Amino acid sequence: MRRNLLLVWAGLITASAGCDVFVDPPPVAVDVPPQQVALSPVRRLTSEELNRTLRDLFRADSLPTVAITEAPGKDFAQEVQGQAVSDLYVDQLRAGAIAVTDAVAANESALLVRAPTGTDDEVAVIDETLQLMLPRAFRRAVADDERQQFVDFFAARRAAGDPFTVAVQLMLQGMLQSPSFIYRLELDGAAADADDRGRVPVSSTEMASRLSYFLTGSMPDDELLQAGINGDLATVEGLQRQVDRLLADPHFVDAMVSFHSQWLDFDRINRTNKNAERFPQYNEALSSSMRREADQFISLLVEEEDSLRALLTTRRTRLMPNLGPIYGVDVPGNDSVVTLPEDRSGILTQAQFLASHGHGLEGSPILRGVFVLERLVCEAPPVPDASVNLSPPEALPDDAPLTNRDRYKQHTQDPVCLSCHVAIDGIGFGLEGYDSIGQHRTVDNGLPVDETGSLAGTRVGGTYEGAVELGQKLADSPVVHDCVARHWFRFANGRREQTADRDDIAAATAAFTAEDTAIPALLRALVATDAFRLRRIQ
Amino acid sequence: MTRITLQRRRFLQALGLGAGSLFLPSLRGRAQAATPPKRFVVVFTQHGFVYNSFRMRPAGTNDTADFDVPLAGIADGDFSRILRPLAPFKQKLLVVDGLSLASAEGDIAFNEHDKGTRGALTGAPLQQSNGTLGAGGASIDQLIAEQIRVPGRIDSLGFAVTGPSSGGAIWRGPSQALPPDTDPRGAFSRLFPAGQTGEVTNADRIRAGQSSVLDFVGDDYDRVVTRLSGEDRQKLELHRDLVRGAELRVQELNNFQCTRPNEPVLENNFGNVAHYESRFNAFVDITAAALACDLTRVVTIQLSQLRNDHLGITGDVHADFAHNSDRNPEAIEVMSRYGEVHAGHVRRLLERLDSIPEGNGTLLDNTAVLWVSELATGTHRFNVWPAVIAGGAGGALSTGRYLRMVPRTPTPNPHPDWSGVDPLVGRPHNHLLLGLAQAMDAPMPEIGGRELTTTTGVRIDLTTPLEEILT
Repeated sequence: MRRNLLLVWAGLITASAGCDVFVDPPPVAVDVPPQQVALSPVRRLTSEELNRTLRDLFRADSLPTVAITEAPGKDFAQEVQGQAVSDLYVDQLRAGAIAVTDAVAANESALLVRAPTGTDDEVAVIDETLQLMLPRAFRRAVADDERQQFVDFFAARRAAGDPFTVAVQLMLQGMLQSPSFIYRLELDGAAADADDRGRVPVSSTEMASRLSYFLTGSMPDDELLQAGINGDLATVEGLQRQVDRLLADPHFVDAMVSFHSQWLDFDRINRTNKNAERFPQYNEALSSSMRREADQFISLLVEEEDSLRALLTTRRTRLMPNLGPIYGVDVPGNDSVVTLPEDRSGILTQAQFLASHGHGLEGSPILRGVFVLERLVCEAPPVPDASVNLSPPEALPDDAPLTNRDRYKQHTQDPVCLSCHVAIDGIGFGLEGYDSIGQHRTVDNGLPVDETGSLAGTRVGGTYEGAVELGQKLADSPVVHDCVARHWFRFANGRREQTADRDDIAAATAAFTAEDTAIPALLRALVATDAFRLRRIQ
Repeated sequence: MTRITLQRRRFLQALGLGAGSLFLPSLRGRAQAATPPKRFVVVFTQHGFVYNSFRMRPAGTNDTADFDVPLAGIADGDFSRILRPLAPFKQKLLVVDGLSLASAEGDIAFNEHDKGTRGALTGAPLQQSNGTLGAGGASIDQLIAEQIRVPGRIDSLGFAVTGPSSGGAIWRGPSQALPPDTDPRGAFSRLFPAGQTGEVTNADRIRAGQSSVLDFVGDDYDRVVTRLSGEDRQKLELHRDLVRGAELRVQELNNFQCTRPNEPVLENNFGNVAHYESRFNAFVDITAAALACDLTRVVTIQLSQLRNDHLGITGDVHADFAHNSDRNPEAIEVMSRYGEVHAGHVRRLLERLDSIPEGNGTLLDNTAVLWVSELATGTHRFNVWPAVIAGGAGGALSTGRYLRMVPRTPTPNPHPDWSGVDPLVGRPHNHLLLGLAQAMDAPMPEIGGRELTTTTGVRIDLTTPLEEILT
């Protein structure tokens, strides 16, 4: 048998129960030389951020969506690594700018500060409009000469014969394709002011954008931008005030949904097929309701109890009626808030997760177990070499009936497989109380379902019975708190955590644990870290 | 006040004409140069091949000896199961049996899908930074595009049917993935925008103003890049250059005569095979049209895993079938069908390209089409990696042949613990990439590295182009 030879991935390898597991680097007390302090690379607005920024910039809710293709293979679109520049991007942004400016120009009275009194007045109107618009678009103060370039461009188009509205649109297209708009440029600060690790504070103006994109997924609102430009965000108090305000902002839910949908791969259900004979009720309407529930569930968390504990344990959710039969609950109308039966417990018993981590006929304890290990425990098991027989043995006609669990158990009996599958199956088997479209069950193939599970072979440890107890154990575990903090760190800073960030992660995790996994506590703590507040000067 | 001159971009609507009659030679405008340009197209699939269903061993050949057999002498019915759908193109086909992804085999640390996807078109070992696993170099399509690019056109197009797997196969350079376009409608409107009809409208004026907008944006980048350093500066300089390229392009394309392909008709239900097929067909239409009017010279189409309904199975293509396709008879059958279905896709592409007259032949004759997979086999092997070439590259490729090379390259990783590893693997596929680059008039001294050293210290040369494929 060809074994896995695994080298260092994101960090170190620990041998837990004989399984080589990728574990992110544990905190080690070492001095960090300046060159190891991570850079804060220039970030480009993600597709979601771009569209929300356009909505807020033009104060218009129904603009055409700008379709930008994100690079594949990242945890978060927010991560800079792999954020490719391509002519596809250039063309998509240009097409989007044309569509958006066409839409906003249709409502000239909302777009311009006032209507020009005549041709002679046009340049003045454009200049006044840009005085308000450009600082919001570029999220910083804009000097007169920089603004003048836009005015001049408008005037040149008019002189070339374009109608007023066309010249306005072309000028705005220039604004929307400007690096100051699509990139989050951080240029303030001088090397002379750097600390012994080569870092300068992120300026108050630049902090406004860091905060708003982290906590609302969009540009700073007027109050935040003004606070930034005024220098208020350079103080802890000023920062705190704005963080508290944004955490209560209606757009905070956008950031929450953006984070969770990527971290927990909500879109996977869009690519999930089921066997039509076994599950005739599974169709596009059902899978899109499952996808919808995931976002709605996060927004309900924000409204009711925004914590990791609730994410993993609450029975409250918001459903479309066609999901009622899946959960065994009455759903009176679209997006009704319901309390699910006692066999449910947060995200790991949600239909979209259970269905998307299952095959056409049967749920997959392996996919479910690997998901929890990777995303909640930060211990990604290695992908087995293909010489390992991975197919679930099929029941032969003469065999005694077996449960799905028994079938999976049989094929991981090999000691080499077991070294990892102790951890994977220990989690996956505990979710056997749910079939491949997420329905609760106590009988599988005519046999009683065994829901006992184990977290042996992971740093969490211990045993449990069924998904409800699994959710509680994970919510209690400092290992999971640390893992969640790492994922939020990547989302907040647009990069992977590195050894130099160990104190930041530890502090954020401590605050998170101390406040019983309240997400706002974690986010406040992340804002207070060096990684968020300082920037290494190259 | 002078009116700006609006240049018309002239498109001929397809208007329900059959595919073969879309491109009328007399209307091909500037694309009708004296010598048609060479084009390069890659079709990239997943899960390798069932080798025994791919390989051909014509009468008189010996499995232990190299051979080079004309395909013309093999009856269609005697083609291997996977290659049979391509038999009608036997004169324009060049099958290479005996390469390996030696560079991926030499990279022991990672999952084979990651290695194969990043290594098949780059020939380079992986590169890892900040938690992301990148290719170690540029992919062949980008390397060729860089040399044969025409300013004012699109250097290359990348499409994916539903999405790229494992981070994607197309790399601008080390760790710089290029996301492929997965939206045929977006690609259609990007490449074949509606032209002016009748009166000059504001939309026409906006189209005419695009080069001035891009010029303005480029100037903006010029001012910003000087304030950046390091990788940030490189990134924005690249972005600036792409904006400048787009500026030139919109000027050029205003004067372009081109025939619009049919607007994509897509099936939206993911569960339906037609969801997959309608996307592939749309990308084939767009590819053929873009190559025919010389909008671009390089196209890559990545095909994601086939649907269960393509194969008539329940279960998981990847875990249940691909991984067992060397031992389980049902899995072997299913994955042989998998290869056949993709051969059908390639055939559809070849039919389209071959239906477009160009010069003394067809568009296909001036194109090099390469069909390869991320892996040699569904069981994650890299040892004998099939490659199918089609089209003539303007006479540079010697087609109509089945080329078999017996594996005689020492495996880069003769690890003592690994049973089932062949001590000898096929010729490093870097040689094929170099040969194709040469066929495309873009010769390079190396692609993906100069040599590999096995764990026992044997050196494997990567710099010898596979000249056997050239005329």
